[in-house]
Amino acid sequence: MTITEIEPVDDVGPSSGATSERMAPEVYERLPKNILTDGISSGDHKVIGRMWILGAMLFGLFTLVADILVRIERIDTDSVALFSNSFAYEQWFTLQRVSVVFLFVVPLLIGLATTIVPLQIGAPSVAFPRAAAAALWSWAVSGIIMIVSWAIDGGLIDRNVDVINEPTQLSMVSMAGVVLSLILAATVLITTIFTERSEGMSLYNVPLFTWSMLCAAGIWLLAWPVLVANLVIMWVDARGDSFHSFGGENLYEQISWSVDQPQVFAYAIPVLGLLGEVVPVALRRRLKMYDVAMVAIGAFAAFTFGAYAQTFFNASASTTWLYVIGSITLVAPVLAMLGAVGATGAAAGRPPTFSAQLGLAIMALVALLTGGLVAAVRVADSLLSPVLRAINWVIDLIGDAFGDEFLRDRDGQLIPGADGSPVGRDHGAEWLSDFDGWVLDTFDEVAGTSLSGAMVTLATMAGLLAALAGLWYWAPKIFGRQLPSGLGMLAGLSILGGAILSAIPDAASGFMDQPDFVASGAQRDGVEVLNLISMIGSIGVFAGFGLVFVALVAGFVLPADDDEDIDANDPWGGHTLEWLTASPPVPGNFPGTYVVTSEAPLLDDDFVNPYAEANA
Amino acid sequence: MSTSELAVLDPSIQLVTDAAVGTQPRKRTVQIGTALLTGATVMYFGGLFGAYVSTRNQHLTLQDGLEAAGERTTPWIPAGADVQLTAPTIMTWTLIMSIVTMQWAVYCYKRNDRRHGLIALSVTAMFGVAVINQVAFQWNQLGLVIDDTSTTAAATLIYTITASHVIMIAVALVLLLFVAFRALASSDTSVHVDSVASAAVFWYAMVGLYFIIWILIFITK
Repeated sequence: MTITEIEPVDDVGPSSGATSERMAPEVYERLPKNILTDGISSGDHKVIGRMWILGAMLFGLFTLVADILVRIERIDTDSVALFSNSFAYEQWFTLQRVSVVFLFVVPLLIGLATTIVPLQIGAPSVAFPRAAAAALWSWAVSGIIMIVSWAIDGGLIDRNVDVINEPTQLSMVSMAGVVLSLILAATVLITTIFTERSEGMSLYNVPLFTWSMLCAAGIWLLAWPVLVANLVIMWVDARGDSFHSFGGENLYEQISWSVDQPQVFAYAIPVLGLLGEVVPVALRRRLKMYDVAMVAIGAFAAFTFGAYAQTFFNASASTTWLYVIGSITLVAPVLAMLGAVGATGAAAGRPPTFSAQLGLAIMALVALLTGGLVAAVRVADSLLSPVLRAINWVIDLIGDAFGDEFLRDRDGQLIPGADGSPVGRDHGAEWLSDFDGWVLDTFDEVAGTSLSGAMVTLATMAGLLAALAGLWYWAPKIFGRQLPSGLGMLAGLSILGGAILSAIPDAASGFMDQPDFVASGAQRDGVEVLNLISMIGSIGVFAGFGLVFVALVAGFVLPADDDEDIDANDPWGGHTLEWLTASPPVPGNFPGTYVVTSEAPLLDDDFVNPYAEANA
Repeated sequence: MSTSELAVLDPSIQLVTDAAVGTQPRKRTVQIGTALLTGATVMYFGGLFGAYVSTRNQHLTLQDGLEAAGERTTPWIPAGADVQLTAPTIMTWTLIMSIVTMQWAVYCYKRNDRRHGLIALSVTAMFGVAVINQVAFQWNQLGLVIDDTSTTAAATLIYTITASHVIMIAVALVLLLFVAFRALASSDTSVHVDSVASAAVFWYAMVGLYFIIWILIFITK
C-alpha cells in the first residue's frame, strides 16, 4: 500500500464535526491551565511554537521599554540625566539593540514558523521535536541570564580595558547561548522543510511563507555561527589579565554587524513570504508569477547575508562593492515581489477582501521599503562618488576626442575645473565636482550616525509586523480562534506609525552628526527636538504592541464568532494544507498524508482529499 | 495503522511526548540535520579564521610601517613562544588516517557487519583521542599566554581556534559513541546507516577544518 492509500480513520478526521467539537476544544482548553506540565514537557510543535511566541512577546515588552528609556535619555544631549552615567546608557542601548533581534523579533518569527510550517507542508510534526523543545528552553534561560548579566553591570560595554569584569563575560556567554539556541531552532526548521514535505511537494512548490522561512533560516544558519565566533574570541580574550585586543570599548563594535546593515534585513525576510500568503487568499486567486516571487525572496535573502561586513576587522567593509551594490539593490526583490502581487490583483479583477492580516502585511512591506531606502542612503557616498568620477572621466575622454568645444559655455569660455583652472576637460565640469563634494560632505560620515538606528528600527519593525500578520492570519491554527480584526489594524497602525515617527527623525539627526551609540557627542542644534519626536514614536510602537496583548486577551475572553457561514477550520478560504486540519490542530495534525502538485493545492482541480468523506 | 493515527484515536499512546511520528518514512532526516549543523560549525570556524587572518594582516602591516620608520617591531608570534610544526603535522596525518577508518565503519554498517563496524569506530575514536592528547601536549609546549604584554593577539586567537577544534573532536567522539551504542543494541546495523553516515559527515568536516588550521596557523604562522 502506498502512503496515499492509507485507510481513512472513521469519525476522527481532524475537520470532522465530531472531532472539532470533541477534540479541538479539549486541546484548546488545556493550554492556559496546564502550561507548566504540558508546555515544558511537550514535544508538540504547536505547543513549542506557542511558547516561543509567548516568550518573545514578553521579552518584546522589555525591549520596547528599554527603547523608550534610551530615547528619553537622548532628548537632552548635553548630559546624562536618566541613567547614572554614560556607561549605563550604553549598556541599555546595546541591550535594546541586541534583544530586539535575538529575544524579540526573530524568536517571534521562529515561533510562528515552528507552529505553521509543518502544517503548511502537511507534516505531522517538526523533524526533531526534542531538539525544537531544547532550543526553546535553552533560548529562554539564556535570554533571562543575558538580561540579568546586563543588569548586574555586565553587557557588551566595559568601563576598564584592563579588567573585563565577570558580568561582562557572563553577557558574552549568555548571548552565545541565545544565538546557539536560535541556530538549533533554525536547523530544526530547515530540516523539517527538507524532509517532512507531503508527497509531490518539491521545494519549487512549497507555500511562500515556508519558502521565506527556509531562506531566512538558511541565512541565519550561515551568519550566526560567525557571531558566536566573535563572542568566543571576546570571551577568551577577556579571560586574560592585561592585554585585550578584543576587549574594552570594542565589545559591541565586534558584534554590531549582526544588528546592522545588511544582516538586519535578514530578520525581515518573512515579510515577503507573508505577503505571498495573505494577498492571494484575500484576492481568492492563485498567486501570479509564483516563480518570480520565489526568486525574489531568495535574492532578497542572499543580499541580507552580512557576516562579511565586520568593520571591526575590516574598516573598509562597508565600502566594498558587495556591500554597496547589495544595499542599493536590496529593494529590487521587494519590488519584484510587489509585481507578482500586483499581477495577481490585476488578474483577480476585484479588490481584495480586507482583513487585519492583509493590512498588517502591507504595513510590514511599507516598513521594509522605507528601511531599504534608508539603507541605500547610507551607502550613497560609496555609490555616487565612483559614478560621478566615471562621468567625469567620460567627459574628459570626450574632451580628448573632440576638443574642448563641447565644454565651452554660452559665451565661448571654457568651463573652469574644480581648482579654478580654465581647462575644464582636465577636471570635468565644475558642477560635477561641486556635486561630488556635496555628496561626500553630506553622506560620508552618516553610516555611523543615528541613521543606522533608523534603519534597524524599520527593518526590525517590518519583521514584527510580518509576525503579527502571521499571528492574525493563522490565529485559528495557533490559538483555536480568530483575533479581533479591529484591534489588529489599530495595533499595526500604531506600530508602523510609531516606527516611522521614530526612525525618520533618527535619520534626519544622523545628517546632523548625532552618533548612533554614545549618549552625547558633537551633534548640531535641533537634534533634541528630533529626538523628542523619535521618543514619541517609540511610545507609539510600545502602545501598538500593548494592543496586541489586549487583542490576544480579547480573543480568549470574548465569545467566538458563531457565524455558521464561516468554516472555523478555514475562515479565510486558504489555499494551503494547514487549512485542511482542525482549529487548533489535533496531535498529529492530519489523519494521514496528502499528495499535492502545486503551491496552492486547495485550488487544484486534481487535488484529492482522501479524508474528505470522513470530515464531511 | 500509523502511530500518528493511533495518537489521534487515543492520546494516552503518547507516553513520552505528544509529538507525532510521521506517517511516511523520513528521508535522511538525521543526515540532513547533521549536515546543517556541520555547515554551521564550518561557518563558526570561518569566523575564527577570518578574525585570525585579518588581525594578523593588520599586525604585519603595522610592523612593516614601523620597520620602514626604523622603529622596534614585534613579531606576530611573540618571541618567547615555541610554535612547532611537528606535532600539528602528525595530527594532520592522524586525522587523515581516521577518515579511512570512519569510511570503513560506514561500509561495515551498510553491510550489517557489526563486529568490524565497531572495530572501525573504535580505531577512529582512538585517532581522535590521540589528537586531543597531542593538542594538550602542544599547548604545554607553546609557551603562549593570553596575558602577555607583547601587543599581539596571536595567543587569544590560536587558543580560541585550537580549543574550539578540540571541542569539535569531543563532539565527534560523542557522536561515534552514540552510533556504537546503537549498533550494540541492534541486530541489524544497516538500519543505522543514517546515523553513522551523519557522524561521518561531522568527522570529515572536523578533519578538513584541522587541515586549514595546520596551514593557517602552523605552516604560515
